Amino acid sequence: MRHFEDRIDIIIQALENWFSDSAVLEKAMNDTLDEGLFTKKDIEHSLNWIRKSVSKETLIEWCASLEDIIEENTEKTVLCLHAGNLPLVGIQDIFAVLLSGYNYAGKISKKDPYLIKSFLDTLDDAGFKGKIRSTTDLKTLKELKAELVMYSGSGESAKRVKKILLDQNIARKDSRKLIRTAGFSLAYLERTDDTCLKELAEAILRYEGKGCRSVGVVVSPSQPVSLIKRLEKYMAAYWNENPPKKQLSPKTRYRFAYNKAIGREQNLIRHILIEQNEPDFENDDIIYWVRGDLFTVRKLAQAYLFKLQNIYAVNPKIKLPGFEDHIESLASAQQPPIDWKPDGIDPLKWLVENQSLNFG
Amino acid sequence: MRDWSEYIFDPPVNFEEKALHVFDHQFYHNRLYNDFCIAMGINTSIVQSVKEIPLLPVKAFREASVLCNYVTKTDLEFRSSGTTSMRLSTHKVASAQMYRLSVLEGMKHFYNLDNTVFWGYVPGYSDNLNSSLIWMIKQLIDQDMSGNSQFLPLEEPWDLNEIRRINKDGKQLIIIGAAFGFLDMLKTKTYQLPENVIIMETGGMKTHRRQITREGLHDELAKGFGLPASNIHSEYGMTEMLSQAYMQGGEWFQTPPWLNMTIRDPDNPMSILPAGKEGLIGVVDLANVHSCSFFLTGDVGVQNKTGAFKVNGRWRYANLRGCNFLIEEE
Repeated sequence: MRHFEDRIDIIIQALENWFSDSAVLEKAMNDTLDEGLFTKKDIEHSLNWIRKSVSKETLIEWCASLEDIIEENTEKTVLCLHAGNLPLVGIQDIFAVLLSGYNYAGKISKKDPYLIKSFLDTLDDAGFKGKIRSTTDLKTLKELKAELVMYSGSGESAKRVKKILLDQNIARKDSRKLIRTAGFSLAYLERTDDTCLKELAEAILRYEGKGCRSVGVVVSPSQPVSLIKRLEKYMAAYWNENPPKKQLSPKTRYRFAYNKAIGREQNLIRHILIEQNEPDFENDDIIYWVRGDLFTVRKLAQAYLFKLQNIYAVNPKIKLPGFEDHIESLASAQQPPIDWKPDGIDPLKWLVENQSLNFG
Repeated sequence: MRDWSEYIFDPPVNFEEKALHVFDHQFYHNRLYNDFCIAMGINTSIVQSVKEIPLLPVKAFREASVLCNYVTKTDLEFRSSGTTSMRLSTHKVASAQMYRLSVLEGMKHFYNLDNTVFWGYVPGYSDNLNSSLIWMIKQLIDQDMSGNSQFLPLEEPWDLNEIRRINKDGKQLIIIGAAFGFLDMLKTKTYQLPENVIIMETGGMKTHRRQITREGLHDELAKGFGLPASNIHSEYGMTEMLSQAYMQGGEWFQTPPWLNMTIRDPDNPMSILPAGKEGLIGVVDLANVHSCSFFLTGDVGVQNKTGAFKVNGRWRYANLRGCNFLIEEE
């Protein structure tokens, strides 16, 4: 294997092959759609995002600051446990592992088994042969003894995963782990023009609201009632173009009834409940709408620090001391650059910085 | 205000009939509960069995006033324990007599009250003037005409001579208190208590930092008090509930006839889970006739085929949004 620029070339070649070999990608898409795993529009959105954000230039730029420390190659293995909540989620980790010269072992989610697999096969053919291993069955990775592990989860679920990895020797006892805990993003709506509301609808509804980049909490200084009414129009327009899979769940209906009983302001818009309340994260079909200013944003960000991925603002130059790294433009919520930082950590940087570690 | 006590605690009328009657009453007389039911698309003509009655989330007691419309004056007001920064649950009790009867009749259902002395050991509660636990223990102490029942002084060791004397009199002694209070005490002193003593812990661990399973807790209590495990009992109650369930050794709680528990699907609280499946504990407490008898707790539990239930801690909502890698779903 050659140095990282050669790896970039192979990745770019693999992407070109993948996008041009319609039979492979189409089959993966059709299998995904046949099983009802994601909507067609969400898959297309994800593919378009990769097309737009991954190029030779963007990958070089991503590696640029690490150029001096990226090693030629390493025999160490990184295990990636892909969550499968969005189509192709985790593809950034695959790029990071391969760019940094590690071997990649992937536990592919049964919720997204075809798309990632078809891309991994293409990467393998393009020049990463022997560097890639993937499965949907974690047990088959027994005795892998991975040196590094990347996955998402918190509390009990993270502990359970850790135990299985160690019990079955899938990861070394002294392996380094990058565990992501973020579960939602917050939008600060200091402006309320139609473009903002359209972007907010996309940021809330894309991927059925399942990503950690999806907006779960909105803070706005404006009077919420009329604003939510206006947002409703953009949500309807979004669904018109992106027919959703989700229906109103019994749990959301139950919450709606509860809010009604205690007199909490709320809007039930199809299956999404927007309630004027601070978050309790009981249900991912609830958008919590808080009337407030940057002080409120800061208070919420501090309270939910380990769950918070991003703070989106119409003007990303807003000042929020201590949270500068969390701020992104609302327009980029569902179209991040390839070097975006899940949980505020650049996965490539993390991998490269761990290259020189010695494992007994 | 109608006196419901005879009807609620009267054994000949079956639970189902009483529950439907109370539902009917609360549907028409509790505006908050009525709004909840209507928003759920449920009314009295739809509900044919207790299983179809919707359960109000228990946090309503924290976020609103849960009381029937006709109650203009309440006898008691209880608040849950917690820090000052937390919004506390409040239960306004329209009839102290109803609560008293529920406590005493409930205890009588499981223990021989005439032959029992109650001691209350409740450190940490002395500053909570609105504790329903303190009030409940006080009723048990006050009903014992022998004068042997009492709240124990907190800073003093237990009087073993007095315990032996109660034993000699052929009486059963139930020492009732919060789990963490007993555990704290055992850190400084252990006991070898006679077998007429029952230690009854009332939970309370959820507001404390330490985490311990109920099995582990009972084990520590049995060892610390020198008692067989069968003498460590538990009470399951909460500020929002005027009735209590009891665990008399073993691991399953039993309810008195006017209290019924079901295990609900957290994703659909109208759905009752079968025996053995873990979910949220749903409560039908008919003694809550003047507030709300039908509510869903935030406690996780499991039920066996006889209807007895176990409490497995607090429900933690999974972080659903976001890239959670969940092994059990894989």
